[in-house]
Amino acid sequence: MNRIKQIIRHSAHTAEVVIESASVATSARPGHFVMIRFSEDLPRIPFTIIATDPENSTFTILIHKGERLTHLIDSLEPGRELPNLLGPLGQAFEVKNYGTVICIGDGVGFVPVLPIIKALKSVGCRVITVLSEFTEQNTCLRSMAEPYSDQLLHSASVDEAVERVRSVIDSEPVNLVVMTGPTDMMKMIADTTRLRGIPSRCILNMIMLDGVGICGICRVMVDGKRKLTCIDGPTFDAHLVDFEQLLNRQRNYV
Amino acid sequence: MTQQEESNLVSRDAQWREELRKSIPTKERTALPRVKMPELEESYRIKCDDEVNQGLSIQQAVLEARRCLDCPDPGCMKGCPVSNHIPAFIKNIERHRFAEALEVLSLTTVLPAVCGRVCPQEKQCEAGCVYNKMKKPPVAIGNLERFVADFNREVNRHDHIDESRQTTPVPFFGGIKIAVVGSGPSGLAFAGDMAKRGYDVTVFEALDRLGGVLKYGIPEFCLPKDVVNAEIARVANLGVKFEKNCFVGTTLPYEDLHARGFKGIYVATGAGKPRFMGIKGENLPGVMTANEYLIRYNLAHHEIYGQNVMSLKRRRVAVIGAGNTAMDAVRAARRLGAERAMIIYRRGQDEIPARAEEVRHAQEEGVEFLTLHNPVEYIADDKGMLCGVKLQKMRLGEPDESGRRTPEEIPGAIEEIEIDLAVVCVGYLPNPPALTEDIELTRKGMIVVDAESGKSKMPSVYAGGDIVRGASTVILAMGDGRRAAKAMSEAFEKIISNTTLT
Repeated sequence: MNRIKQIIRHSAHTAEVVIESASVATSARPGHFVMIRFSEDLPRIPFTIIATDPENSTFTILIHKGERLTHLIDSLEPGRELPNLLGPLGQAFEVKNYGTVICIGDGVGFVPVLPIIKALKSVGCRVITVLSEFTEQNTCLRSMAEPYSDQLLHSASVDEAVERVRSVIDSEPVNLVVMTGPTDMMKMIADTTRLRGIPSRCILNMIMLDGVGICGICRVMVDGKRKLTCIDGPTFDAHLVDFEQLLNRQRNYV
Repeated sequence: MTQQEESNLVSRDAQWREELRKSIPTKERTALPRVKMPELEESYRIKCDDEVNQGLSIQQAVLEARRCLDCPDPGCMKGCPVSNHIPAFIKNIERHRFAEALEVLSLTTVLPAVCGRVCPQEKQCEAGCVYNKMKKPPVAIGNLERFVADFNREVNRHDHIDESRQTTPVPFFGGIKIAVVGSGPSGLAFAGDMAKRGYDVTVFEALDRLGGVLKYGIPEFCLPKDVVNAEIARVANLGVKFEKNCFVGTTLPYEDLHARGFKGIYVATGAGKPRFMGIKGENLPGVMTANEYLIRYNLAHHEIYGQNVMSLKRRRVAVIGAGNTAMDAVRAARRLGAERAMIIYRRGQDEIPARAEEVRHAQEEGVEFLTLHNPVEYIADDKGMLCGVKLQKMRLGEPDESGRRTPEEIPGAIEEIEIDLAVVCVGYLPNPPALTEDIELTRKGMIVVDAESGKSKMPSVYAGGDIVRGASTVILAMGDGRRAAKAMSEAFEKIISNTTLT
């Protein structure tokens, strides 16, 4: 159990890791995450579950260099047992036909929105994907999002990404915006969609020690109430999240 | 152990015990001073993680055991939440029968090495000791309990005794599967008792280590991990199985427990969700929950999270609250090199709820106590980092219903102090999520149970420990586990005894 079944190296920086776990494979829904410790000397880290394959009892995550995993990608190999794996955790994303949805993420921080794009497309949403800070390092993200996107827009920076979102909502009716990535970008987009009254969800990417509601590091103020990203999230109403406070906290917790 | 053997070990009327009582005149016993627990020197201990209390030697333990007068109506037992046979185990120490002393303790407790270290003895067993009436220090019951557990553990380790071979669980109820949710003190006590009664017990733990709060909450210098592991091994040797990384209610739905054939469930998920005071600035970087701070200290030494390398050199640390967690946190701060380690507490020194020994240790280690100070606001510097805290000075008013004098604000007396880290230790809320939506909870999120049996309103679900009490003590959590085990197993036995073959 909890064995690495397959590793697909998309670049020197990015690898898709397929992990065997019957319970995660059968019960995970879009929006869920797992806590994984890859080796005894590494911390437990939360990862978005980007795909599941119940028939083969596997699920898939994406890992990037950085994220304290610099040496990990090179050393991973199929067959390795994971010292520990806990999941699926968090609240699932509510998947239904919202109509037109903009899904936006930024580079490495794009990953949490990937399973949402796929799920929303499968129930009939019109999905407009905005992939920001598009570089050679993450061409795989584009290829993963493209088949499920009715339209795929690129942007070279956070500011441009916000502009792209603005121009889409200026030109056609949009029913939902789903965002992830850097907090400052999410804040700017949420400010924009709030003015236009477009429902918006954000998927937060926070540091966690335990993932079960104990450490409190992932706390965030939502509508004036203290929420835990691990238990109550990671998806929240983007219009109610106190991004200002989050930005301040995250400068110390990255 | 037969009933006769048990009675010989425990009964005050056993012949050996009568002889032992007569062997030393009471006057000689009461003239003995209380044996002082050997401790590491302050200057050494604040530089390391080593356990501060070093434990009694055989000679010291026997000497201390002699002080016990073996009262006919022992007050100590009344003070013990699990009614340990205190004089019986102490008298076994006095006659150098340390293995028997452990057998006596094992009748009522599964965690003697833990309870001997972390119980607030001065409020429980030792408060009931007859020596208090003589205005003398009570018998050091906690230190003796710890001695018995430690001595036997070391002997077994030395002799390579595999305790699993010594225990033969009763096979009668072997087919009935019982699930325990949480591997903290309450879950372990329940699991151990059920296994002894012959049930097939599995303990589920959400984290990657067993022991719950004993591991992530209590630092090495108070309760070494080895000691906890040994106690868990004793439970495992009774036939209890453990599944780590399993978050019942989330990664393993409640319904799946039934599908897997579990007939009884004991919920002991604890209270670890951090509480906040609701004051300004609590989400500033630099304000940590007790759990974040203690998990980093206890479990994550090697883990470096961004800038949060755990060194507090030249830092000023304010720990808010004065319970045991707060003492652990502030003493850990000293060990991490903090320049100032302060307890900030809104009541007075006499109202401090932590164990007396921990408070003394903290004082010896140079912790400052800002009692009668209540934080009202955390202050950020121009970069948005915590740099100080505003404190409202307090004075003591009339006693409230808990008997503690209520602190009142002194109007206008507000002081600001510079700090680099604040650790909020103002209590815990029940852990989320509840097992299932059907379970009845109090307004604060605790599970509602029958006080005697621990049975919840849901069939076959019992609960105990902090998830029922709110943040409480190891011994009460353990007591809940033991009572629930008795009630659950009696309920099963009743069903079976009423069943007839057709």
